[in-house]
Amino acid sequence: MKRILVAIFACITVAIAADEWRLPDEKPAFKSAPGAELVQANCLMCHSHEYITTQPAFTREQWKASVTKMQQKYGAPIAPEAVDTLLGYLVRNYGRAAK
Amino acid sequence: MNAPRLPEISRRSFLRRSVFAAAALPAGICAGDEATVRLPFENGEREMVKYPQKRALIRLTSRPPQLETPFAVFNDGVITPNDAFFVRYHLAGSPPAHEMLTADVFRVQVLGKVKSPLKLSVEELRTQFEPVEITAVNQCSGNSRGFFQPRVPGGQLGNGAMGNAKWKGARLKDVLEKAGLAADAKQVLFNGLDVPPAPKVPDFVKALDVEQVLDPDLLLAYEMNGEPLPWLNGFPLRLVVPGYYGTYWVKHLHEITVVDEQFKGFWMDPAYRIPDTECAAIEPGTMPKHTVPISRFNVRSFITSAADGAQFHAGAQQVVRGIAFDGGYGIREVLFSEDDGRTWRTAELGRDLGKFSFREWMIAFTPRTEGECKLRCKASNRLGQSQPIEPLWNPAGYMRNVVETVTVTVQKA
Repeated sequence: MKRILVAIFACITVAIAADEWRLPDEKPAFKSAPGAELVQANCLMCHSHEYITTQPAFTREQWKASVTKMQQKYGAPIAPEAVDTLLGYLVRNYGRAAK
Repeated sequence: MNAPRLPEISRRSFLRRSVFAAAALPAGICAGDEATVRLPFENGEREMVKYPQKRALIRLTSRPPQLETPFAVFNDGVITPNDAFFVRYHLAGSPPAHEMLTADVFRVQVLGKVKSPLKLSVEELRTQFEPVEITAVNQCSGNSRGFFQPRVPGGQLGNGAMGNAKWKGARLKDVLEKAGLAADAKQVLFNGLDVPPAPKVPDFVKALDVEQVLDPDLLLAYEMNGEPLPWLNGFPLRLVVPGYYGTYWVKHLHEITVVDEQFKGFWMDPAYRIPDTECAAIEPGTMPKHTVPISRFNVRSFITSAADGAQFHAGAQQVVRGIAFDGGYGIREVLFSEDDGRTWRTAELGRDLGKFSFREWMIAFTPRTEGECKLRCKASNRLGQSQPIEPLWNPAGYMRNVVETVTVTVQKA
């Protein structure tokens, strides 16, 4: 019994020590809608979902500027033919119509 | 919309948390202290999440981690505790794994245009160089970006991407002098161990001019508030550039490279640049013609003792308190208004912890008339710089420093 308790205590100690250097798990949280898989494949490569989901509702033009910035300034390997689908998803789920 | 409102824990998430806590406790597992808060702008709902060495903070992003300090913390004291200090990273490979940061592995190198390159452990920095401690504010360039109107893309922060700490380390100047700068040295580059997530993503490297790095206030800091730096604040070593925006305060600093030219890396150009205009401001919704790298903080002040919606009683004297800071010239005066800026009174300043620190201020206030009451504060520094009554705008959402307003309600005595 004592040995088991020691073993349990050792496990807990290791777990606590490891936790000091471990970040909370990332929860994927894009809205489920057509295009979501493509957004996940292209955007989550470099950053978590909040980079998109915490933005104010942008117009298509504003989202396009962000996607272009990711491609040109940050070297994101987003295929040119994927851009339209990405923008459609972003505007429908995290955007607004232009005034 | 200018007020430093205290985020309110939403009832629904509070209930959810209570249920989870009740379920989780008997198992003896430390459940994350998760709840949500709402920052006072569109799409401002955020999770409160506990990270290693941190209390539950407002999570902006999870990869890389970006955490904001709940504003109420700034009323607890003029020094921001390590476990509440904000966290900002740029690259998904952050923070670096523990294995890269241990005492036997971690080294900082001084390379490039120097007479004798150096490779130092933190222990060597501690023992071979005079330790210096400076109290200084670190503030994210984009602190308060979420309040910009029109809104701009970027990290949608409230007012909590700032903090004030006692930083201890070796003077950068002393280390560079030991290495010996070459006669043609022009800039010094700072690189940390955080790595880009894809081959074409630019590494996070910042540059300062040689004239600036010889300033004795710049530190290679290994301690924050008397403790080793927290992992998420740059353990075991970060650059401290008092008075300058946090973008220069490179974390997990392992490479200092002296160069003989103007550095053109992404994070100096086009990133982190401001319009080359008065107060870095341009007409909202437009683009600047010319830009320069962001540098010193402008003047800011906040009321910390009362948030929007606070209830006061007519005739009952209060002490309203807050903080003020600037880019390192020192706060000279804080003015307080209880009538939405029509009349101003001079507040009393708290203890002076140095020109780079938060300066506490306080003033007695007896509300007279019932109803809504707009409290405002406005600081000025020893150069005479102050804060604008109307917010200034730039497309990156940097350097917000409008005179803040807190709207409280005065009830019958």
